[in-house]
Amino acid sequence: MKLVLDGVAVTIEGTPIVREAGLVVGPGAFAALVGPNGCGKSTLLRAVYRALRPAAGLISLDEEDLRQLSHRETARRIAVVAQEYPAELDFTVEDVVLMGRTPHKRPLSRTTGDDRQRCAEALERVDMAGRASRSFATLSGGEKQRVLIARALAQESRLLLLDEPTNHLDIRHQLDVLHLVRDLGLTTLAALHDLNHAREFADRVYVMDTGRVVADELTPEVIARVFGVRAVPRTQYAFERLKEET
Amino acid sequence: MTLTQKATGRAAPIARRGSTFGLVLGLLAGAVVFATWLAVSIGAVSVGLAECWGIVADQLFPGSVARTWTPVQEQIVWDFRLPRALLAILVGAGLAVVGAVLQALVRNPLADPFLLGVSSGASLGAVAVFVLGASTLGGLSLSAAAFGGSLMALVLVYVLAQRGGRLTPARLVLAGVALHFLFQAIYSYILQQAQSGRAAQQVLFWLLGSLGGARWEMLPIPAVVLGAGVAYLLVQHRPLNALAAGEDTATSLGVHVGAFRLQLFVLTSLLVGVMVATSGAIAFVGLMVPHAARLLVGADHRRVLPVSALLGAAFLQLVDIAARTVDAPRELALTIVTAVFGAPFFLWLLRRRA
Repeated sequence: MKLVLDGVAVTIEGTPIVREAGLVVGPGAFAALVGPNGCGKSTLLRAVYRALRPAAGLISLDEEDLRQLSHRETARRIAVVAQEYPAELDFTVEDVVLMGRTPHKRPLSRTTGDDRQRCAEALERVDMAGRASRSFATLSGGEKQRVLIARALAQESRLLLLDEPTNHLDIRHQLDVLHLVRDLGLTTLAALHDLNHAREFADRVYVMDTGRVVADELTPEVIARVFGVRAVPRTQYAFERLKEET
Repeated sequence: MTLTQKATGRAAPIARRGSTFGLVLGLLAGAVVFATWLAVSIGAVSVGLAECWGIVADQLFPGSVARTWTPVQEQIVWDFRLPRALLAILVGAGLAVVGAVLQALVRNPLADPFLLGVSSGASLGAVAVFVLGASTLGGLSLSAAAFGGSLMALVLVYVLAQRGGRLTPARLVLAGVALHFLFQAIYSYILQQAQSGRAAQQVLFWLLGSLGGARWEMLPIPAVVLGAGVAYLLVQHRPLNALAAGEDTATSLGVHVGAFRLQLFVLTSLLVGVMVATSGAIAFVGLMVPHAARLLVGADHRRVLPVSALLGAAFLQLVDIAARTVDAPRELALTIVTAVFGAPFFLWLLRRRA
């Protein structure tokens, strides 16, 4: 599935948060969205999964205008791992993953063995098999993130959006989650805050600054301009340190 | 081992929970019937348990059983206790279901119709009709005024809690609590200003919850509203689960959150309005019962809603029996009895969550 954003603008309570965002994620590609806090990454993602209505611009999936689709049809195409945990009411892991079947069910249709089968497979893929009846609230941060990815898998959408999926995770679990997501092979757009992770895992990195997508690669110049820090790629850094030391 | 076999093996605990659900439903339905049977039998004039069935059977199918009771007993059971017991079922179930829905809506297990100001909104509407008279309010019936009050409360809470197009559960609860006290102040003022002290006392008693006014003709409206409401909610159990997981989550799962939330607001205010109009504002049922239901069958609303309804019905039936018998021949207001259970339960809940 191919995702195209063109000239997207989002305004919240009269304040423009996203001004003009354009990007392309090709079928099966993993694109990362980076940028300083408050640059509009989450807002842009929320516009793509239609929690917000864009004030201007076009969002299309495989050449299909998103506005032509119902919410339910959108949910069959786009799965989301947002920064929101269903931890207040005591849902089990299976309850949470079964929620992914929502866009595939009619109001009166029952949850079938087939739905449960897909959930079991999704849990197996994220290495959480056998924990279906655990309480979601009691899981660790990394496990919770895995369950939310399983829910996205059970949704059987071909586009996956992730909003800072490595937040609050230790470094090992950050890498775990990113490996897992990359290996799914879905068309993926992920807002990430770690530039090294973005460079390492994504096929393409889009850089946002004050509501605009300002670059589609992470060069030292872009990092200096957008983040206000001097940064160089690791290999170059190692090389320069080597030069200084010798 | 194939994937299918492994998956079936893992599905086993879930299947067990399915049969637990059936068992819980069966036991609770039995408890409702038994509590209702007791409620009809117990009172100043005691009527034997067997006679209760006989009277009901005789009313439904005249001449089908030999009469072993007096006409007075028959009148007490059929005209007073049975409608009262049936109203207890409806109100208990209704309040519990509203509690479950509101807790999902604001994603806060401590939400109940009181915390969101809905009950006091309904009370305000009812007090206005009671004290000022229906004529001053354009001939509104008590139910309609109570419904109007609860809807007004929910709309206000909804508008006040909104910020930037998003509804945050914490703001919802805060706005609800503020409005609750405001409405309480207004109807207390109306009551104080009322001419007749006796009428004011009657209203006050009614405000704390009483099923004493139950008559057969009061039952159809709550029954229809409750039946339709529960049926609608059961059909919508998936969007309800999704909404309980979060607003953005629900949107990403294909739920039109704005429209769905509005439907839930109208439905809950209708339910609360009808329940308050028939029985006053009974606290704690909506808070406690959904919790107990979740402890029994988990958080999935397909199970929580029917279990809450039955549990609420059985609970309120027992509460009403206690309210009638503890201080007989005087009756206690129902909220006094529910609070005796509710306040410790609330505190236990806080400790458990902390």
